[in-house]
Amino acid sequence: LLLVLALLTARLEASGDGRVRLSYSLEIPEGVSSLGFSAFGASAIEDLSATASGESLVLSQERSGERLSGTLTLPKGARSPLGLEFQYRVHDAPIPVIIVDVEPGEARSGAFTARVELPAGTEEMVDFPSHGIRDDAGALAWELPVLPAFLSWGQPARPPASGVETPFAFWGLFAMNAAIVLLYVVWMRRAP
Amino acid sequence: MTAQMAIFAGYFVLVFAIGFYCLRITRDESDYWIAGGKLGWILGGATLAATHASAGTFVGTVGVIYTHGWSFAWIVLSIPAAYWFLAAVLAPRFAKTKELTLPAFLESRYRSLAVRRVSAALILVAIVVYVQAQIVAAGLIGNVVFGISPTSAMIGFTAVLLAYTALGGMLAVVYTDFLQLVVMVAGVAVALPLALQKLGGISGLFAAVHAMKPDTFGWESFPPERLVTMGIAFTLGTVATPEKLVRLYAMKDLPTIRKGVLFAFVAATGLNLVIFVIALATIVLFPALPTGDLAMPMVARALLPPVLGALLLAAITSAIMSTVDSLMLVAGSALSHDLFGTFRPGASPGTRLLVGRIGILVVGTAPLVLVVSGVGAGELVQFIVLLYTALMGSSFFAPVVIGVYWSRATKEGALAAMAGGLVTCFLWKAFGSADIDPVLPGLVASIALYVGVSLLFTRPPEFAPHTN
Repeated sequence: LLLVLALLTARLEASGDGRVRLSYSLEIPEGVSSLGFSAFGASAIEDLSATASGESLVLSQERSGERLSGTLTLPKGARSPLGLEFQYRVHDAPIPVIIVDVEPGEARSGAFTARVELPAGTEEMVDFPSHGIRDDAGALAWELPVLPAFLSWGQPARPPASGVETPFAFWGLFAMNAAIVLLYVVWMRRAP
Repeated sequence: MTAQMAIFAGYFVLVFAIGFYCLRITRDESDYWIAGGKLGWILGGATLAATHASAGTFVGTVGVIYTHGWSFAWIVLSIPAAYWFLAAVLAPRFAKTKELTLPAFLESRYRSLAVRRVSAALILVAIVVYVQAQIVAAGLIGNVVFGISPTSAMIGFTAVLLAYTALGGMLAVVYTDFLQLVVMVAGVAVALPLALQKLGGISGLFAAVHAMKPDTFGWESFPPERLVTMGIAFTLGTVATPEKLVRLYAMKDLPTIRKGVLFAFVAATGLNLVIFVIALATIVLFPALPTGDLAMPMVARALLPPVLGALLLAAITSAIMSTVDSLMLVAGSALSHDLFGTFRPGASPGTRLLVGRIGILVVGTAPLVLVVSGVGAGELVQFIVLLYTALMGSSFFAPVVIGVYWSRATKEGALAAMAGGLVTCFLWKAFGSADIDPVLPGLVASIALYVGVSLLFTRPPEFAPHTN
């Protein structure tokens, strides 16, 4: 399974609600019957559906915190290149990007493109990915060699998450290094 | 992209200007190879730290944490351990001898021209491996950021690098290293808060990583024996690599070296820790990279605003350049001073310098040819770096480190240890278990040969370093 192209389009209303279409072009070997997917930002994704070559697909999904994961059943006899499209509703930025569980393929310009139409008068400030540009029609457009986890602009940082403990392996490493520096300084001052 | 191009162009012009300036102030071989041996602790420490921070740090480490998780981050403890060892054990001996190169130190220790020549040849082989990793990383940056083919990016990068290194020698390398360290620190200092801001601070980062890749902080991705042996490889790679050891000669005295080493390991460790946190963010922000080595270039390409992204790219490029230029210098000195110079002792210093410059061009081009030919394709950058540190550690730990203390060691033992360590390391890499880093069998073989062969020959009359 190999990702060839991904194209995301979205239109946001003044209320902040928006509809997202995410189209993938995939190379698939014969006999593949299902495909996994995941996304970061599960709370923002509603009414998720998927089609392949115009045919609705059966999908199962599971949400755990901000992670959405699931599996979709491909049509019988699906062949390469497979045109797969996800549709979902979001409310305001960031817009999560659903990532299909395939080999990403070689990074190259334009492997992922996105275009988000914003309500008139939106004073956006491109946030992530950072190289988005406002096109002639006033929409925000991105072109990247790889898939980002989400698209966002102008909104404040996510609120600090709670309920996840800081791993000891994280701060422990910092503390040990600081201790070694102190010990070295003591040694250096006493060394002949 | 225009702003990025401008920043990049400006950066390269500055580096070239430094190279050209240093060409003008270089008076003799000592200036060219060890910056006259008069560096203070800030410049000396900065050049050590900048040499340490390579593509392995900026691209490779991020790639491994992206792919395998946080357990790899504990490898960072090898940095202070190695530098402390360097300052406490090796620096006193190196400060006394003040040679121009590591092979020259080994010749003086073992009173053997053969030891010098063999060590110079081994250095050349290992350097080709290391430079390969740096060139691969440069190709990725060019590909992702500027949209040019990896091969074109690798060729362009190598050309620029070789030009200024061949021109300016160690003086150019020291001054550009200082500039490059400043750029590296500035680059990650800007990238870290932006990465955290995207994910809601440090707690948001943990929550996101926990949601998207819950095993990130686990210990499953590397078996303990693999982590420990990789740690040994990195420690030895710092202790027994010529591009680091020769910097001890470049600093003016022992107290300066100790301060410089403190500066170096605080800078290198701090840089690594910040980069590790950025690596965690990339797991969430770019969940579907074709290779983990693309994570840091993507931070510059898609996380930072264009101008700051260019700054980070300059930092990554700096890391690569500051390491490769040092390696090229070591390779050039091995060729001109330790090989050509020993076969043609009557050659003038000017001729030796010319041979060194030509050598830099030749040795710098070899890894490029290998990479373009597909050698090492698909390997994560950090694992190529790891092979280099394993080769160096296996070859030089016994002759250099044990050699300064064990007066019974002979030149035959040193030769057997260097060759045996290198060959065992290569063989293990090709045929051995992937759970054990090649450094361990290489080191064991090298020490066994060093001791065993030394004991087979008569005791050497004098232990050179103590008499200098």
